[in-house]
This record gives sequence, structure tokens and C-alpha cells, in this order.
Amino acid sequence: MKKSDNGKRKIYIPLLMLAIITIGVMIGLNVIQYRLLSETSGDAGENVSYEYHIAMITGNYSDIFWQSVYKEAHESGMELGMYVEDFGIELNEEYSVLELMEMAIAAKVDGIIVEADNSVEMQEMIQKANSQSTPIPVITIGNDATGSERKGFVGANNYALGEKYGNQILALPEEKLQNVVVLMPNDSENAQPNLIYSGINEALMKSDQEVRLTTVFTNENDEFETEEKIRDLLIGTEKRPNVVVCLNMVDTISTYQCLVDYNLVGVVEMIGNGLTPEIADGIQKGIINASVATNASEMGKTAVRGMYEYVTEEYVSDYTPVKSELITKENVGDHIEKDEK
Amino acid sequence: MKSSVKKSNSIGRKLNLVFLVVFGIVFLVNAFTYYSLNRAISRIDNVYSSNIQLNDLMENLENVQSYLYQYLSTKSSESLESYYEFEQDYRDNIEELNIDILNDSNSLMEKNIFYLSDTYLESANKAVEAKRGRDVSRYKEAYEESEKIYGYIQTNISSMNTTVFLHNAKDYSVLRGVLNYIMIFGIASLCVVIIMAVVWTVSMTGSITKPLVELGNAANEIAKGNMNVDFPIVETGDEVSAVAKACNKMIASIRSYIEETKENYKRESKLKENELSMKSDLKEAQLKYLQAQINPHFLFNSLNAGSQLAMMEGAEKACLFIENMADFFRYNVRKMDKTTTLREELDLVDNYIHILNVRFSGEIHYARNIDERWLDHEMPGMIIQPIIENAVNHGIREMNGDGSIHLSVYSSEGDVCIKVTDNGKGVDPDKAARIMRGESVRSKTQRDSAGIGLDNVISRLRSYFEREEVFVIRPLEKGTEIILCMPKVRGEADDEDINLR
Repeated sequence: MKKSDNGKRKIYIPLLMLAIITIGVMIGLNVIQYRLLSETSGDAGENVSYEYHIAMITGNYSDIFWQSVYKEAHESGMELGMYVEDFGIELNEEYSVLELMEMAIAAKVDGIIVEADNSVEMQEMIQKANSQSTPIPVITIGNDATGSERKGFVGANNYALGEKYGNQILALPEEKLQNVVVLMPNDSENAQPNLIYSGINEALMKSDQEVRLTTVFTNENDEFETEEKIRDLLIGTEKRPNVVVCLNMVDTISTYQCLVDYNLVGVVEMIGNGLTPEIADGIQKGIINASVATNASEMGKTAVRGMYEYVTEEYVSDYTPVKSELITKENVGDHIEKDEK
Repeated sequence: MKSSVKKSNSIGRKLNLVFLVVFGIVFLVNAFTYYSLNRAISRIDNVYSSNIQLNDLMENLENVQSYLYQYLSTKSSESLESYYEFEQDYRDNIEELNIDILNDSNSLMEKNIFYLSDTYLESANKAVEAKRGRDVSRYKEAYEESEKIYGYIQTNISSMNTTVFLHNAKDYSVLRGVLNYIMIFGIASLCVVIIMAVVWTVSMTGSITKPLVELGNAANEIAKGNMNVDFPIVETGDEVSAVAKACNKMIASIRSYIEETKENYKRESKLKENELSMKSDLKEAQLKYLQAQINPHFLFNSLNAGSQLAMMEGAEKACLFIENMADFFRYNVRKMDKTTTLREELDLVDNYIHILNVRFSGEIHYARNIDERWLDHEMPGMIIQPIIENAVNHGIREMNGDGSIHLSVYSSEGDVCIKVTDNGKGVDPDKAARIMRGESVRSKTQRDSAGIGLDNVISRLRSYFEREEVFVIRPLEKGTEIILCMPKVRGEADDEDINLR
């Protein structure tokens, strides 16, 4: 009896194994297939729903500075239940800030954070946002639209920024100060460079030292032209300045590259703007004397906090300053570490 | 026999099980592969449906815009109707769009398109209303607004179309990969299942046929004559083991039958052998006797005549001697091949001793001690006389002085024993042993009066009583002792010896 039971078992063991293998294979196949399919858009992961939809509109999406502003704004917005959209970045066509604002208003977003300017059109557009049946709050960032109905402004104090530049120029050796050139982004509607320039001037006036300050206009929106202009400026020995002051990141990188390419390191001192790995590298090597940088991540975070305050409490302070820092060879290491974190 | 095969273990059932399971699993794998393929294909079908949906949206939007334009420029009621129709369609279309704020650029774009469309339709309707109310400046303004938003929506939709298309193209390639993967996987798993099934089937059929082959081998072995082979029994519980068991039973009964036949044959042949050897021994004795004697009838008739003649002449001793001679030869003639009694045998011995004593002038002292109850005991003839003759020839005659022979008959442990003792030269123990084994120890030169040797006597005794222990020859200190033991035919318990003389 026992023997025949064993015999029976002998028959069923391969049967069982076959069945188990088949079922295992099927389950495995299903799981793998599911995994592969989940890579497709069919199942778009977790669909977290947010309470507010905020459009962030900046003039230049390719700018590293604005990219990091957006990144921080997006991340801190998520924590607050707000989805900050890099409005218009996905579109096939290029739209101006004003057009994008109009689009955002028509798309009935819950709030707009915009790098504004002082134009009348901007004022009108902000007003249009406010006059919707459900008013859309607008917070300006980086550049203010003075006199508009914007709910608040988050940005660096450009005047203070200018003073910082000025002080840094004064710290340079005296013989260099005879020919200082400030590269001005050629943007008539933007008050920022002008204010900085005023700040620089003010700071230089205060000192007893004699400084010859001139300005050269570059076009902020055309990188190629900027590079050309800087090359022209630096290559001729007669016109060549001793000190170049850059007010934005594009100019800073272009100048840095030019100094390296034409072996002008030590001949021309430069004071830059912003902080990218490249600029940090330049500061570390001593090619860039110093860089004045607005803290991009703080700017993004502050703007979103402000927007959150406004949509929840209907109040936000009119102006929230964002610290700007002077980055020199001594403290550049700390900043790089901070960025890495 | 049928009951010994359990239904669950029968070969048929095993085979059915194998086939069913193998086919079932192959079917399952196939069905599963087909199902997976189908699912993946239906997914592929869905891939571009979102693009199609967006194109529909775009088309409807274009229609709305063109009829709005037509209405505003012509104010025809037909275009208004079409406008409303497409406006409704468009509303239906955008209802399908996502309006939640999700962490996904496409969903967000859908939301934007939805609200843009909403704003667009609002201003378009405003324009239519203003046109109806002939408010020229307002409808123009509203139309411009709606046209601008129309442009935005178009950009949004086309952008979304592009991103969705790129996304879908990626999905499509992934799905193609999945499809290939499923196909390869299906084929591979089918192969594995089939290999396993084949292995299983082979081992299964092996387990079925192996006992059969073993049975066949055993049968062949038996056919060659080796009856000691058992049929191997593999306890599979199927028909084969039942057959093996039945065969084993058969072979056991055949074996016992053969054993029985052999036994019978042996017994029969032994009987035959006995008979034959008895006959041949007798024949030999007779032949020897006849060779040694002249025609006994003539001899003892002559002797009878001689004895009468002696009586008439008054020679009493001669008469007695001749009478004894006559009796001796008569007995020989008469009793040679017949069963006789102890009494007659003893009488013959008396005759013989008398003759010898006359011949050798009373040298032999003969004494007997006989249990008379056994005088009628049956025994083969010509037994005791050759023993006496042997004692005289080989014992007494070869010594100096008077010889004596003592004969006694007694019963011992169910046997009737005859003991003959002489005081002759004695026998060599080796020779005695050889005689007892029944070997002939006669040499050619040896003279033999009666011609019957001890070997013949022993052989006849053994044949007659069908037992080995009938004859003992034993050397004594002086002389030889021979004991014959014959089974009692009638059971007489009393062992008391009675002295006759």
C-alpha cells in the first residue's frame, strides 16, 4: 500500500513541478510585461492633484539663473500644494512675456509669477489679470512693474547690488581704475541694469579715488552679439579696458571665455554676475575677480511663499528683498557646496 | 485478478493523465501568450488615439472659428446654426480633457487647453451676442480677443500634439519591444514545457514498459529451462504488476508439479533399480553355482542312490554323509532364487558343517544359540551358508589347531540378528570395511567352493530388506564376528534369548 502510494507520488511530482513552473512563468511574464508597459504613458504613475496652478513666466528660459529660480519655486510649491508651471516652455512657438501672461490669464490659472518690466503693456496686462471674474494675483520677480496692480515684488535690491559692485571696483589696484567698463544689457524697458549702474556710480562718488567709468551696451537676448561685442572691446589694445564689470550671467561667461581665449588673464580684471559652475571655476582660478549673485533658489522659494500667502490670506508684503552675495575666491567653495547640497 | 489493479494506477489512466496534463499545459501557455499579445496589441491600438482625439479637437476648433468669422462677416443664420453646432461639439470634446492640477505636463496642458477654450468660447459668444445687438465696436473687440485666444489654443494643441506624438512614438517602440519579448518568451516557455513533457512522458512510458521487458526477460529465462527465476514484481499497482503476480503463481505451481513428478520418477526408478540389482545378483549367484557344479539334479539323485547303497551295505556314517551331501545340494537347487526361512538356512548350515567335518575329520567345532521364535522368519536363501564357508575358508583353514564356529540368533531393537563368530585367523580391518561397503575382495587365485562371495550376500540382503545396515563384519581379538540384522516382519516384542543347545 505504501509502495503504491510512493508510486502515485512519483507520478504527481513532475506534474506538480510542471504546473508550478508554468504558473510561475505566467506570473513572471505578467509582472515583467506590466513593468514594461508601465514605462509607457498609459499609466502615468501617481497622479497627485494640487490645489493651485501657478504660472511662472520669465523672459529667458535658457538662462541658468532663471532655471534654478524655477526649479526651487517648483519644488517649494509642491510642498505647499501649488503646482508651479514653467508656463509656455512646452509650446512650439516662442511667445513674449506679455503674450504668455495673456495666455495664462485666458487659461484661468490661480496665480502668475512674472519677470515683469516697467512698460505700460505690462501694467495693463496685470490689470487685466486682476479684472477677471476670478481675479488672478500677479507677483513680479526679479524685475518689478512699478505702479502696476501687482500684489508683490520679490527681487534683489538693485541699488544695493550696484553699491556692492562699486565697493568691489574700489578694492582693485588704483592704476586699474582709469579704464572701467560696465557692460550694460541693452534693454531699455528694464530698469534693473540702470539701477545697478546708479548704485555703482553712487558708491564710486562716495570715495576719493578717481575712477573713469564707461558703459558698453550688449544685447541680452542675443548671445552671439554679446560675445562679438565683448571680443571687439577686449581685442583692440587701444580701447581695451582695465576692468570689465558684467551685470548679467551671459555677459559674465562671455567675458570670462574671452579673457581665457585671448590670454588676457591678469591684464583685464573682471567683476561678474551670478554663479554657475563655470563662473565658480573662473573665480577659483582668479580670472574672475568677484561675482555679485542674487540667490536664485531663495528668490524662487520666496516668490512661491509670497504667492501662497496671497492665495490663502489675500495678503503679501509689497516688496520682499532677496539677498545678493559677493562671491570671491575666499567664499566660492562654500557656495559650490551649498549648490551641491 | 481485476480487483488487484487499482483503478487509479492503471496504465490507461496514467497515459490519460500524461496526455491531459501535457496538452492542458501547452494549451495554457498558448492561451496565455495569445492573451498577452492581444493585450499588448490593443495597447498599441490605443497609442495614437490621443493624437486622433487632439486632431478632432483642433478640427472642431477650426470649424467654430471659421463659422464665427462667417457669421460675423455675413450674419447668415445658417452659419450661426453651424457655429452653435460646432460650438456644442467642441464643448463636448473639451469635456473629455483633464481639468485637475496634476504633476504631469500633458495633463496640465490639457487643463490649460480646457480653460483657454472656455475663455475662447466665452469671448466668441460675446462677439456673437454683440453682433446680434449690432454693437460694432464690442463685437470687433470680442472677436479680436477670441482670435488671439484661438491662436493660443492652436499653439497649445499643436504643441501638445507634438509632445504626445513623441511620447506615443516612444510608447510604440516599447510596446513593439514588449510584443517581441512576449513572442520570444512564449516560444521559449513552450519549448521548456514541451521538453519537460517529453522527459516526463518518456520516463512514464519507461516505467510502464520496463516491467514488461523484465517480465519478457524472465519468461525467456524460464523458456531456456531455468525454473528458478521469479517474475520481477514492480509495485506500480497497475496491470503489469498484476500480470507479474499471476505469472509468479503459475511458475510456483509448475515448479511444485515438476518437483512432484521428479519425486515419483525417482521412487519408481529406485524400485526398478532394486528389482534389477536383485535379479542380477541372483543371476550371478546362480551362474556361479551352476558353473561350479555339475548338474545338481544328477548329482543329488546320484548321491541319494549312493546313500541307499551305503545303508544297504551298513555303512552308517557314509550313509549320513551322503544324505547330508544330498540335502545340501537339493537345497541349493531348490532355494537359490526363492525366499526361505531361517530354519531351512540353519539346516543347510548343519549339512554344510557335517560335510566339512567329514572332509576335514572333525576339526571344526560348531555351536549354536538360537531364539526359536525366529526360526520361521523369512529371508533370502543362500545367506548364512556362504558366511560359514567364508569363515572356514578364510579363518579356520588358514590356522593351526581346532577351529570353532559359534552361531547365534537373537532379536535386537526390532531386528532379528544372526551372529557368526569364529576363532580363525581374523580379518584385516581395512578389508572388513571394504567388504561392508560391498566391494568384492576376491582375488582371481582364490578358490571358492560355493562361489558365492560376501559381496553378493550383502547386496542381496540390502536389496531384499531395502536398507543398508544389514551386515557387520568385525575383527575380534582372535577370529572374526559377522552379524546380520534383518528387520522383523512380524512385530514380536519379547527379546528373551532361549538357549537351544
